[in-house]
Amino acid sequence: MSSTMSDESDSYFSEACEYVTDHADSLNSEQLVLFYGFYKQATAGPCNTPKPSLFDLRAKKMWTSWSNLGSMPKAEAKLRYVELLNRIAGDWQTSTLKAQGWVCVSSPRQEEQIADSAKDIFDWTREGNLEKIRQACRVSAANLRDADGLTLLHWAADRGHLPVVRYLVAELKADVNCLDKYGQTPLHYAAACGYLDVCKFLVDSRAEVAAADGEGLTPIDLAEEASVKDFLERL
Amino acid sequence: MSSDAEKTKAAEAENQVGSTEQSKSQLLANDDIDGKKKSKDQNTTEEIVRQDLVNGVDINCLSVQDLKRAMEVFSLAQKPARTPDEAMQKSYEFWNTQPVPKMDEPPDEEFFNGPIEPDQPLESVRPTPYSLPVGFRWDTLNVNDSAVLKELYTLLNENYVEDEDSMFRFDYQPDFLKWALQPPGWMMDWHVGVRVTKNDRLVGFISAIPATLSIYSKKQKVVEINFLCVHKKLRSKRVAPVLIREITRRVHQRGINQAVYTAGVILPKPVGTCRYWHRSLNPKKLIEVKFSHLSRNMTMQRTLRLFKLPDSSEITGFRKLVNEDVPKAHKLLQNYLEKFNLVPVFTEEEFKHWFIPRPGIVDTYIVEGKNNEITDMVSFYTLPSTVMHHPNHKSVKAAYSFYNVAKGTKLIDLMRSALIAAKNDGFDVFNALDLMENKAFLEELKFGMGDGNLQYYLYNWKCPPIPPEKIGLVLQ
Repeated sequence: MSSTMSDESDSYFSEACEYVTDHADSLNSEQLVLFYGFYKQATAGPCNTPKPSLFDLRAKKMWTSWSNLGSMPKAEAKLRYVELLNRIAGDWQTSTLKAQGWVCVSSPRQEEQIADSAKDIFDWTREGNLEKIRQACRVSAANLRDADGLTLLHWAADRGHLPVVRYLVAELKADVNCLDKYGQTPLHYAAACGYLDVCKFLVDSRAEVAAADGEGLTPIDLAEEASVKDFLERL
Repeated sequence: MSSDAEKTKAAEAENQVGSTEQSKSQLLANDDIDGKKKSKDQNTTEEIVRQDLVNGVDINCLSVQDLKRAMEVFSLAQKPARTPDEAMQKSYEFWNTQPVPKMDEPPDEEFFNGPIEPDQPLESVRPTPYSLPVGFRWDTLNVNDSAVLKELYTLLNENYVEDEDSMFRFDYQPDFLKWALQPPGWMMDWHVGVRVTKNDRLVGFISAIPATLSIYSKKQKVVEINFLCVHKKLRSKRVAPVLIREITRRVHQRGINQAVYTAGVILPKPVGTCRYWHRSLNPKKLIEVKFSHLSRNMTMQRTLRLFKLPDSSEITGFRKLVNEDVPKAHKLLQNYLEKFNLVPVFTEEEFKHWFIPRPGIVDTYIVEGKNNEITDMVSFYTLPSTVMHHPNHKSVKAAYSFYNVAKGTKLIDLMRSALIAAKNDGFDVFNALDLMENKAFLEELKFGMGDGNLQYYLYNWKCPPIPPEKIGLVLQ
């Protein structure tokens, strides 16, 4: 009987750990430090590592949380961990638990993500984050070019971010017919990628439908999607 | 500890977690009164926070990312292992009792290729099912009953697999399941379900189908184990080991003592490890659902051009496999598979089952040469994944490379034709493992390496490890 009890609390504990790991972003650091302490106590027992340097605040914080639990038994630490989670997120058990099947869906490996702090206005444009663009923007930003001669408007058109396209054209007075290194206008990009709404906006903003790029191709030539092709041909 | 004391402590901690600036300053004020009197083991969560405040450390300077990373490392022990090192560290209580090679077993000095345990005599096979936790019962599923099939479909769809970020899950279609579970010689009592006694709800499943393998050229009757699935609410009840024991018992009852299975996780002990590769057919959609990602300076325009395919196959005689082709195509495949160390041995009937095209399940194309000869074949099965939480896209339609033989055509041209056929049939992505000769075309045909390995396992069989290019077996 007692072994079933402890089995059950073990599985609650490990489910709680998974939940906390998965939702760490939505917990504040005070909460995370407390979880950390209980976690270490529950898995490794009383704190047995030397106190970290005073200057390593993070490490010290985590170490303190653990060592302060003194000789609390592992089972109690598990209970306290689960209790803490119950209080912070009472519904954690009914919210989607991660399945632990034998199988996982593989997807293409992703490159290292860039930290937000390292992102520039081109990154924000590619992501379509209008808020960040507004913050980072100077009026002259519309004239910035990357190594391939693409402006922010080229990138916004390439990704189909209509609100950003609209902002760049209406507020920053970006040139709708500016050319990149390959002689392509933003409309070339929007047409090739099949964004009808962006194409319509650019055309309404006097984008040249017949502009030929370095290879002599117009936006219509590049359009693959029928709706975009139809729209451009009918102009 | 009494429950009252417990409640008091809980209440204390609750105050801390939701502590306001006011309560923080109260704690600060109280510090010098009892701060140094408490011994270590009397410390409470209250104390932790208080000490931090006393020490003047701004608790918010902690990086959430750092903590998250730290916790991830520590909680690894709670999850199934994904790397060999993790697997070594885990104690495989269940697998230690099973006839499988140990994780840390040193390689054999001499070539050994055979069973670990002798065959179980039929009369010594346990006649009764293993016991389930109280409240659950066994139920053999009749998947010819469409209501039962729907139940199985729902169980698998909701519980079989979710990837790490829960963005996609396999959506095995009911007809696909019938195809996978009912090849020639299938047994109904190998479709093992677990139900809740009270309400009959299906909460667990495991299956076996009969097959013959050739392992290092030794023919062996085996079962393929697949679709092990336990409802997520039941994961803590240790139902999976009982399911494995029970299917093993039922397979032993029919005189079969070996099995083959694949899994994403590492268990004792893989006979081989393959990697998934993915080829975008509909890159824009795959990027929109975040299945794949554009690298920093890559434009969508260039990406679309990169993955663009010709409108139709350029190979003359490339067409779908039909019934009349079966004898020739069967021979073509079996001859070809002889060069690998782990392969299925299909009868003609089995070949027909697995390869005759079935819409939405499996597609096979062949190349017919001059004298009505069949020189090549290429096949893939259909497995959509449900896209979680996306406003426009509900599903990603994936083709999985099955068995390919290129004798008259270059493999790369044959595979390009398969990509074109899949693209024209509305598939979004074409997946392939790096087994058989696939490495010869993966990069050139613009497959990108996946983040998931597929481990191959043999039950009650020991043999030298098999590198991916010597594996010639694909399961569903």
